[in-house]
Amino acid sequence: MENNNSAANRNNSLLNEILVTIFMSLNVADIASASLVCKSWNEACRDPSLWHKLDLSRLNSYYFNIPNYKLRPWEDMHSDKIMTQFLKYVLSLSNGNTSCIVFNFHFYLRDVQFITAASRTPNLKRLVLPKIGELSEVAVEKAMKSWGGLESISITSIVRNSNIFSAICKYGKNITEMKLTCDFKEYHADAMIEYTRKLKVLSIRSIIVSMKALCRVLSYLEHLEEVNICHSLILDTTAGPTSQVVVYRTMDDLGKHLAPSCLGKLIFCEGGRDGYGGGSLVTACDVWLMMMVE
Amino acid sequence: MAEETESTKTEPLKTAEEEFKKLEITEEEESELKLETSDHVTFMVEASIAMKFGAVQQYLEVSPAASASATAIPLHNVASRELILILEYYRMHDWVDAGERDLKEFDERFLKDLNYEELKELLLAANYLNVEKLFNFLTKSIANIIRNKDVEFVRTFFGIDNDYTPEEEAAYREENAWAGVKFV
Repeated sequence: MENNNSAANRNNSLLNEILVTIFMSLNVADIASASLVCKSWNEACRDPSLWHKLDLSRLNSYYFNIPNYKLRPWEDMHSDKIMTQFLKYVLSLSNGNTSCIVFNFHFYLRDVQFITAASRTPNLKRLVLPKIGELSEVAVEKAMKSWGGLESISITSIVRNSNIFSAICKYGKNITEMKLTCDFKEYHADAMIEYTRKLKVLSIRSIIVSMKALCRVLSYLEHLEEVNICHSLILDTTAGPTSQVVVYRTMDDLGKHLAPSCLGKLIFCEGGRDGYGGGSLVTACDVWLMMMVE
Repeated sequence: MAEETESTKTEPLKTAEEEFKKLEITEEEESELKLETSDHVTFMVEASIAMKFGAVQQYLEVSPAASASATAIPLHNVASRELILILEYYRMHDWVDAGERDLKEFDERFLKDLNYEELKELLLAANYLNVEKLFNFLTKSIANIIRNKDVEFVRTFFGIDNDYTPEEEAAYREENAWAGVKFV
């Protein structure tokens, strides 16, 4: 009898393992759905290995029965409620084991979801924010307080102003990697220098970068090892009283303003390395410039 | 089963022998292995197929004498019912004349004919025997069936009993209202 029991137990735990293997290839919404099938599936759906990374980047509105014919399907209040429910449920399955959240880039993030996610992921190390939404300073502070172990963050235009960015940095003292997909401005540099002293890697590629901000982080962040400025347009808008814009087109240009040790930390694209006007850097720059002039 | 192999499988047998040599099993050229399941049924299995079972390989590494067909290789955790299915799958996939479409049809039917209890037993057996191809086929197919489907479909397809109490079920559905019609 005992033998039978132990064999049955062994089989059950093995079946659980097999189910986890199967669920590995499913997305979050499918796992959530599988968890409702029966108790043994539910148990397998809670396996920590399924939840280290909560990747919502490929979950489109289809999974939530949100019509996607609209330009911004996530923005209305109905989607808002649905998304909060969804986060609550999947994070209850994750049981605090999630260390990485990647939001769908087009998802409209509001305070309630941000705090829902933060309060259920105490061990978060990596966060990728969506492009748009409405986050308040209070909510960001509250969320960041519970994410003390955060090491890596992707900042988008959802971080609208210096207060919100400061709130992120203030409680993100352990951040070593940061990526910005919005303009890199002086207030970013200042907040980083004040709070995120451990920053090692900064990606400010394909955006408009303030030359002053770039100089500051390179000079004052002592642990900084790598700054990616590929395809970025490096501008100095405060050079003269006539609001003249100075564009740094090549590495030679930058070399005049930066110490060689700083220059060595930069990652740039081929156009920049050649030292003459050609290649992708300048092409990208010109496009940006035209947009600026408009 | 043995007859079928002898009459229709001259080609695979040849490759089996080659494979055998490759594996450097120096016993006399033996084309069949004797396998004994947990319910004490003995099977004569083409070496080309048996050698695809990780558990058989492992056994022969430890006791190479067993490849002489006098002794049966014991498969403690696999019952005859599952071994028959596993052999059916491997014989089909080993059959040189099987075209891609035949295999696809076969695979679909193979999966469809299994109820949930059988599927579970087969997964366990495939796992114990360490038969990678079948195991991967089963797990991938199950994932594909679950993908994008609602709960009722999955339960019906696999014949899984809903063991939630009505209260638990209601609570779960409330928590999962985000999925809209998918769970209704």
